[in-house]
Formats: sequence, structure tokens, C-alpha cells
Amino acid sequence: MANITCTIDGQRVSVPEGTTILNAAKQVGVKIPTLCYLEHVGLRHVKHEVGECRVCVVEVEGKKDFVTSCNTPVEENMIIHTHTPKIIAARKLNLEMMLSDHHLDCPTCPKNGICELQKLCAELNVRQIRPQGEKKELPIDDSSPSIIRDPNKCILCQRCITACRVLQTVDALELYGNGYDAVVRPKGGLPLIETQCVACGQCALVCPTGAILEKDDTGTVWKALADPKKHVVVQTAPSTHVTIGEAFGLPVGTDITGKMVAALKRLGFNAVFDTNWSADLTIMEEGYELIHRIKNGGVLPQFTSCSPGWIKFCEEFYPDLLPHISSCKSPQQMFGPIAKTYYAEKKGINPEDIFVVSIMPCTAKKYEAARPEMNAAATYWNNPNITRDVDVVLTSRELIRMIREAGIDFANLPDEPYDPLMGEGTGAAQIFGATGGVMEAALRTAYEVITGKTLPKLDFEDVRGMKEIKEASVNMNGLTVKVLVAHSLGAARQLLDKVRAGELKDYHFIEIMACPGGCIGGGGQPIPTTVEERENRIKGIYERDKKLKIRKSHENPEIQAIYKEFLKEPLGHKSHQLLHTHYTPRGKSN
Amino acid sequence: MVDFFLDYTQKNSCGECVPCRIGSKRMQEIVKKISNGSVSEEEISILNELSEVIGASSKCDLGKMAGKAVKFTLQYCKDDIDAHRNGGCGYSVPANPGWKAIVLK
Ligand code: SF4
Ligand code: SF4
Ligand code: SF4
Repeated sequence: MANITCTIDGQRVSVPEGTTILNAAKQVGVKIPTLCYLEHVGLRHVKHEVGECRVCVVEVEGKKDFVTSCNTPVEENMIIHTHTPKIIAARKLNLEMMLSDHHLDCPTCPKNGICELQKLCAELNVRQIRPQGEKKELPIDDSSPSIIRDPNKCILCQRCITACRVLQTVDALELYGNGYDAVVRPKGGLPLIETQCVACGQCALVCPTGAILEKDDTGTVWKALADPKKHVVVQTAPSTHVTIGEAFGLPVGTDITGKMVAALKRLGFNAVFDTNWSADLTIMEEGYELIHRIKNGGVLPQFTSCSPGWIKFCEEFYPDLLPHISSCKSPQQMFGPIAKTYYAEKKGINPEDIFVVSIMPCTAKKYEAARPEMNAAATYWNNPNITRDVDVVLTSRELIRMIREAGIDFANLPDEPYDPLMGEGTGAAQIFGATGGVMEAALRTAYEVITGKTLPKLDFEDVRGMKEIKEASVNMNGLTVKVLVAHSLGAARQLLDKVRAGELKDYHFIEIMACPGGCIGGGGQPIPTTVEERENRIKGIYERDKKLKIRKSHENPEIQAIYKEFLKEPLGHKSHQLLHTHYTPRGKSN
Repeated sequence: MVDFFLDYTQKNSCGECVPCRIGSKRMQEIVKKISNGSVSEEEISILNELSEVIGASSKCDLGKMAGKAVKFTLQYCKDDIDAHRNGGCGYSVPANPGWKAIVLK
């Protein structure tokens, strides 16, 4: 491609044709401020450069008006000035205009401290809001158990729309209305819960303000912890093992498992367990289910079921494909009923008193736990006083806030171990946190169960990494098992259309994760969650897998124990009662 | 007439960019104050700045025109504005000769 030469603030620079002024300026060390611009929305090819906020304007000699640097490519011999007095004044006034219609309650705003709008105002030295006038008073939408929208803090940057429409192809949000009355809202102006929103939270990850965020459930957990009658147990999802540390200044991807356990004990949880344990349990059930389907001519390819955003997506947009989804509950929802049955029995605790909290990377997990059918323990004991299987789901961000509230010096905590019975997790479970991980974990177990031989190489590199769709095949006693992996719902849609058209009949197993990068990129993870962060977290996941002594789910001694003492066998009667579920066709577009 | 034009801008603005969406609203609020004689010197000065920035940094010509229209008004119809501020307009819009200057430009 041809190179273009231009001058930026007096410096000559040569860049490939098509480079934006913003990126050309970076090359000569000039940082042009941006607000609405986002280079990658979850995946590298999803760009967001609508030029809405007009904060990145620059002057180009020979042009009467300012141009936005985020979406204007440089031209040969352009002479660009990025911080003339006029430009600086314009940027500040544009921000002032934005703030003149913003509910500025920063100290109590959940985005305080990580808000891009706040940060930019500090950077650009905005000290007053001169234009004053009408302020909008729009109702807060808290209809969803996962996501809260405060449109009074929305700057209409439309990042959320790109995340929802382009990345996830859910298209639950829209820009509506004209002029000052324009708003970003759920499609048709409905409450979010009544749209096809799958609660993935990718919109929350990219929102630069406090306009879209997770629903905060920390208050309920503080209350439970303070209640002496309650026996509060907690589980920590695989991906949180490498993400919580970021908020406390540790490098992205650092393994903080031991510190997280220590922090949870200090917060007052009665028992600290690991979702890695129930991830191993999931592999047992899901692996056996796959073998069963292959042997008995069941519906293939089988889809994984760990990602609740994906489940809702399939229910909404591909209800005809629901029989492909594994009937296994997700690891979170396997943990809940086991805590209120097996653990309760072993410890002699009244299951009514057990309160189950999850630490999850995911906003959709809140929705999943609230599904009416997720009350297997109550059915098992035939006791309506037992609450739902998982009582509260906290996202990574909420746990981070609780640790801060309690004044715990997280980065300097000593490592502590999980409690026994449901605390042991293998490397196979650990990699559930990254895209391709569930598949790899399943293959590690399925291979050994089917062939009776030891797997020569544990690492299935083909299914790892940020490539949208990945595939692999493994020979198991003459049967070539073919698998596919997709992450982000846009990528999932590509595969599902093919399944619907009957093109993927010779594949056996498809892993789908709603979020780019898998759970490490979940909608409840620390902000920012950029593509780079996702990649570093993935590295952290595989490093921890390598470090663990046991790396195959069926070798987990606590999993072997629960089958021996309680469940008896995978896909057995108790398993069906407690660990399997069914799905509901929804959606209007079908 | 400027008020009318800003009304038009508001109704037709796609709402996508800040200067046009919020800025034209803020300008209109000040212009209304000019008409009813309650505007302050400070507000005139911020209107000046707004019109400048909106005229130069809006995304499309609609917002740019809104900014420029106000800018020219402030430049060429100062007498009219002063008259309003002093409690009564001598002319019925748009008879002010200042408008001619804009049209001829
Ligand atoms: S969104 Fe940002 S600027 Fe707005 S109130 Fe919250 S912290 Fe402050
Ligand atoms: S949570 Fe996901 S599906 Fe729902 S609005 Fe946000 S991006 Fe769209
Ligand atoms: S909700 Fe957030 S991401 Fe969406 S348009 Fe408003 S400010 Fe932007």
C-alpha cells in the first residue's frame, strides 16, 4: 500500500494510506484526546469511530471547519494542527455542552474513578460548565436482574449499540429521536428485560460513563454475611482467578487465586469453594453426555451450555436448535444445588440456612441464577423454604468493591487454600475461563474415557486464542471427533446458521461463549477490558493450568469422591435431578 | 427567525453529535432570552463561543449552519439584539438591514 506523508504539529510523518489522523499523530508522539472513539469493540475487527463527541477535532490547513481525527484519513501533504487555542477551546466547550445535560453526581456514581468522561474532563482541565439550560430527567431502567441503565448519564456515544448490534448481533439497543430529545434506549423504548437482550454485559464494558452497568448486589451479600443464622458459602469462577488482581495494581493476568480465597475468608464467608470444582463436575456430565449422544445417535453436534448469555441467545434467535444444547447446567448452577444437598448433608447443616454466593465474570449469571427452574435443591428436599440454588451472583467488579469497602490490602494478602469437599479444581477446569477451554477440558476427559489410554499431549493449541472460530479433531479409537469453538455471539451466529442449514452434520461438539475471549472477557470483569487485556488474561489462564498438579477433570479426587458417595454415576438419577436442565424457546423473530 | 431556524435544527438533527444535539439547544435557550430581554452579557459571550465551536465542529452541515447562522446574527444584527436587550425591538423580523449583509455574503 502506498505511503502518505503529512505534517502534524510541525513534524513530518509517513504512514500507510488510510491511516487516520489520530493514529498518524500517535506515531509522532502526539496524543489527541478521544471519548466516543473505541479502536476495538471486543474483537479486533469491530471498530467504533462514529465521531459523535467531537472531542478529537483538529485543524487542517486549507479546511474551513475542524475535522475529527478518529475517522478522517490523512491526505498527502496535509498540514495538521492538533492543539491550537481554537482547538483547545472547542474541545473544552464540546465537553461543557455534554456536561450541561449530564447528571453530575460523580461521588456516588458507580463509575467514579473509572469513568472515561470524568477522566477526560480532568485531562482537558475543564473547570466550569458555562452553557446552562434544561436537563433531562429520564427514568432509570432496572428491569433486568443483570444490567442497569441510567440514561441521564448517557452521552450517546453509541458504543453500546456497536457492542450489541455488531459484536453480539443481538441488536437490543437503538438511537431514537431527534436533536436534544435523542436517546439511546432498548429497542422500541421497552424496558430492557422485555427486549431480546441476553444480559451479556458487553455494552457495560464499553460504556465510557455510568449509563450502563451491572446491577449491584453487594448489599444483599453484606446482609447475609452479618446474619448469624446463615451459613454463607461462596464459589469463584475460573476466570476470576486471573482478573481480580488488576483492580489492585497487579499486572493483567496475574494468578491471584490464593489472595482471593484469603480476601473472601476475611470478608466473613463461612466456606470458600471453587467453581473450578463444579467445572470438573460439568466435564464429567457433559463428556458422558457427548459419548452417550455419539453412541446412541443423539442430536449432534452437541453445544456447550456454560455461558448463560449464549443460552438466552439460542432461546431467542435459534429455538429450533435447542435440542443441540447439552442438558448440563453451567458450573455455577451445578455448584448451587450440590451445596444445598451433598455439602449440607456431609456437614449436617440445614439446607434452609445455606446461602450461596457466586463470584462470576458475567452479568448474565445473575439472570441465570434467577431463572425459575434453578431451584433443584428445594425440589430435592421437597422444601419450599429452601431458596433458589444460587442466592446471589456478584460480578468481579462487585467483589472488588467489597474488598475495597472492607479495607483489605489485597495485593499483600498471603495465599490461602480453598476449603475441602468442593474446593479442589484441576487445570482442565481452570481453562474454562478462556475461549476454547471447555472444549479442551472435555477432550482431555473424553479421550481417556473412550480410549482407555492416557492422552499423549494435553494441550489442544488449535482451540486457543482470539481467533473468532477455531476447530480441531482428535482420533479416539478410530472415531475422529470433530469440534468447533466460537466466542462472541456474532461468531456464534455464523456457526448456527450453518448448523441450521445442515452444513455441520459431521461435527460432534461445538463450544460457544457469549463474550469475546470467553469468560475472561465477560461483561462483569474489571474495566477496561480491551482486546489486549483479554489476551493477557488468557495467558494467565494457561499458565495456571500448567502449574496445577492435576490437569484432567476425571482425576480430581473430590469429584471422584462425590460420585462414589453421592451421585453414583454421571448421567445417573441424582445427576439428572440436580445437574441437568431444560430450555425455553423465546423470541419474536422466529 | 434564528429561533425558528434553531427549532428546525432541533427537529431535524439526527442527534448524533454533541454540538448539534446539545449545542443548538443551548443556543436556542439563550436566543429566547434575547427575545424576551432577560439575557446577560455573559450569556451573549457564551453564545458567541458556542456558535463559533458548533459552526466549526459539528458533524454535518445542519449543525454547522445552526452555528454559523447564530454567529452571523451576532455579527450583523447587533443593533437588533441591543434593542431587544433594552426592552423592545424596533423592527419586526426580518426587516433589519443586517440580514442583507448575510444574504449578500
Ligand atoms: S458517569 Fe462519570 S462523569 Fe457522570 S456522574 Fe458518573 S463518574 Fe461522574
Ligand atoms: S447486555 Fe448484551 S445483549 Fe443486552 S443490551 Fe447489552 S450488549 Fe446487548
Ligand atoms: S449508554 Fe454508554 S455506551 Fe451507550 S451511548 Fe450512552 S454513554 Fe455511550
